[in-house]
Amino acid sequence: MIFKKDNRNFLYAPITTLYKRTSLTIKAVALTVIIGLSLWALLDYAQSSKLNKIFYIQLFDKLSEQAMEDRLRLDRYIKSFRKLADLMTSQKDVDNYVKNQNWSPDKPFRIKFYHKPPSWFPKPSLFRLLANPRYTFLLDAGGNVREVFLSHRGEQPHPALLHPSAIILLKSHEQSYIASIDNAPYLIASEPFVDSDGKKLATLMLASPIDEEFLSTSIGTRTPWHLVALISSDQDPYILTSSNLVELPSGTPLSSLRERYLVTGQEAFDYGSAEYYTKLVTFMSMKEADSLTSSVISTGRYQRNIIAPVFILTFAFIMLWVTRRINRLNIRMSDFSQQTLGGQKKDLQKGDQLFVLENRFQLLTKEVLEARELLKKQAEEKTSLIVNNAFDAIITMDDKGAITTWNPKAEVIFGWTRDQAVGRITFDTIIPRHYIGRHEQGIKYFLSVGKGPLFYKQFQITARHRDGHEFPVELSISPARSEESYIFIAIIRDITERVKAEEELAKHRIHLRQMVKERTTELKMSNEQLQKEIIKHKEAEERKAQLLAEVESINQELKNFAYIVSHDLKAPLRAIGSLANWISTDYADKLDEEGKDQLDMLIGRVHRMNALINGILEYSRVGRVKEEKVRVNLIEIVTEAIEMIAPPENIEITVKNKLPAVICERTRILEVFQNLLSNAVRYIDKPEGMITIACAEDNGFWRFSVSDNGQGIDEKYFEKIFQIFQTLAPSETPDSTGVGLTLVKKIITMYGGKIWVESEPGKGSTFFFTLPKE
Amino acid sequence: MRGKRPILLVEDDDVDVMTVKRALKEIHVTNRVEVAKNGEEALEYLRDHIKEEPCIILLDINMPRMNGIEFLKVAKQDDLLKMIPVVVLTTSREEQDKVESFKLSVAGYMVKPVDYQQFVDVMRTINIYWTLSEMPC
Repeated sequence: MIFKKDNRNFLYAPITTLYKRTSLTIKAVALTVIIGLSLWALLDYAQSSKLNKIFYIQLFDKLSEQAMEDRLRLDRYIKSFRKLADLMTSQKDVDNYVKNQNWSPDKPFRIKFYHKPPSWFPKPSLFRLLANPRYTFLLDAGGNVREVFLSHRGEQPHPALLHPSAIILLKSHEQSYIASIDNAPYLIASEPFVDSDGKKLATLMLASPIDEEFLSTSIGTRTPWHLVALISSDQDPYILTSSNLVELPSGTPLSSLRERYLVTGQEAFDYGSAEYYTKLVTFMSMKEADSLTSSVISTGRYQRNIIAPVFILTFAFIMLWVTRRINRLNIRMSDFSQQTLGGQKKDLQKGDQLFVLENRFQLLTKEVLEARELLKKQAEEKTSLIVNNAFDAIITMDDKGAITTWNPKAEVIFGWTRDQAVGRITFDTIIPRHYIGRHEQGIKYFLSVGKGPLFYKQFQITARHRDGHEFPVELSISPARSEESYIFIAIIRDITERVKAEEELAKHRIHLRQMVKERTTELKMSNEQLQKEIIKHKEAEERKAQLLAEVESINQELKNFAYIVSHDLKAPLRAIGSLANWISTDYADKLDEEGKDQLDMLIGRVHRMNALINGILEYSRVGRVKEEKVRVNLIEIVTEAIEMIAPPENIEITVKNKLPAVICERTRILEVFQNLLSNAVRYIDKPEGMITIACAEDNGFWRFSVSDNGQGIDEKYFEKIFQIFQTLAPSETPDSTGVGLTLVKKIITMYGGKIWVESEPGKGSTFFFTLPKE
Repeated sequence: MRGKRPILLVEDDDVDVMTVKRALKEIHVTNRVEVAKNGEEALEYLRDHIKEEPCIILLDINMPRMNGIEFLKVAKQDDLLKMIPVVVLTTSREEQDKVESFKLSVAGYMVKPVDYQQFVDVMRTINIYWTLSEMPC
């Protein structure tokens, strides 16, 4: 067996290898060429014979049509021949000529031959349209030929025509007549000339032998293959005459021609008064037909010769494209196998592209299967790694309830080793006896319905150790479908410690709750206390706000009051002043000195009152009338104040250092300096008055001072001088109203500054005041 | 004062009226003094075509019914009346009153002095000024 196989391999090996290694394209092209060529040859053979047949049938049909046409043409020509005779007798020239001839029947005569058209002969146009008779005869009344015109020079008519029989004349009258003269067919037509009495004067006779020339002109055989012949209608017909006497000589029997010619239109040719039956036959040379057929077939072959290579080339290109694609696929599969599956680069058996592809695919399938196995194995290893190292017990059981997996942690928790546990019924092993029924029911319910309350959740139950003691566990069961049956995966955690801790915690919690309760009560009480205080506080606040509002409104009223009262007080005051003045002037003669003094005192008091009122007005104006705050250069202000006061010459006012610019109401700051300076000037009691203005920075403030060397103020008046209407001057002094310093203090306080005085009686005083820098 | 046209004194205080009249007499101003007790009476006088148009109006600010500022607001809207020069004669030193008055184009603002002699000086000043100042006819 083995030997035989080897032997066969040995024999066929070179051929098989060659076949396998040849490119797919070359194989496909070779196959196409072989199949194409055989198909071509087969077709060529079948087609040519079939074509031949069809062609001959077609040709025969065509020839029959031609025969019909030939027949029609001959008919027409014969009719024209007859018509020509009619036309010629009705021609005036001929008629006249005949009338003028005196052809006495008794006188001997000679027949007159014309070789050129005689005078009585009609114009050539007539012949061209109708027919061209070979001989034209003029016969006298007795039927003797007198004159003849021969259209073919030197061609003498047959003697039978020069002396026509009465039968010829009779039969050729009124219709064309085919006569047989010496076995040769002739076409004859005759027409008599008649005078007015109906007496026959002469006769015109036209005659043409039906020969080669006649047939070819009357039917018009132009192509070489087209032959026409007149045959006898005997039992064994032969050719009487033909359009080509070389091809078809007279007397040839028709039967001998059937080999070489296609023959059609063997129709009886009868013209009423024909002397014998003839037939007009149309021939076509077989040689001609064959050459036509072969030319048609060769055209077909030529076309096929072009189409075949085009097909083969196209196919070859398509195959080339396909093999390239296959090659690319091969490369990609190889890459995939190496890169994705991690296969080794392997040399495949040599062969064509399809063979390689097949091999490659087999190899790939094998590699994929190997890779799948490897993955599966890895996955299983990983699973067992997880299961074995899990912190929880992992147990699986089949749908019968038998344990299938039992990991090391399960051994620790339940006290059964793996070998002991696997195969046991789960419920008998780990579930306390009173629970077993419920678990079994749960599993059965799930298997029948497909869902159950036990699954996919975590719950706490009591488990049983091998030694019989029960302990709390946390358990979750999830069913998983494995091929045909279910397996149930249970993950179990021993929570003995945790439960203990929780119980401990619960105790603590109760204790804590108690404590919180007690503390809450305390807090509640103190909170209530606080609430009450808050309410009280709120009430106090409200009261304060109310009071503030009241104070505000009282303050406003006071301001308005001061203003209105001052105004309204001034009018009567002025009236009193004026009236007192008029009394002292108008009634000067009636008043004694004392009266005058009293009136002057009255006027003096009016002036003081006026000054007081002005003071009040001035005071109330501060804070009531708002002026725009601008940056004011204090040097200018001081200069302006000095100008307004116009101090006496014995008083010198000096500004000790550079005064800053401050932002304030111009009028107010002017009032400050004006009041302080005028006070200083007023109370100077020395012959040399010295007033000094100074300024210094003091902790975000400007501190200004106005010093004089006046009479000074006792310390006990330091406060009093800033109160309204408090003046240290006697009330008779009209200028001193006790408003100035009050006004200054109000302005300074309004700007957020302070004012105070330092003084020593007899030596002088210094008034200090501060203004914020910003 | 210029011409013989009267002086319109708008003043509610009788003593002040007397004071003005006395002061004018003292400085020998012989123009007749027409007195209106408030702004309304003054407008009534000015719009009465029978009454002679005054050459000057001396106007108090604090008056009942229609005060001086209100009177000015009406008078300066009137094309005929706004030609007559108005000198405010008041007790008010209020800045606001001064501003309001000058906004309404008064010709002068005099504060009535308590002292009669000073009052006479004020009137003298007014007289001199309005005697010298050119006026449209």
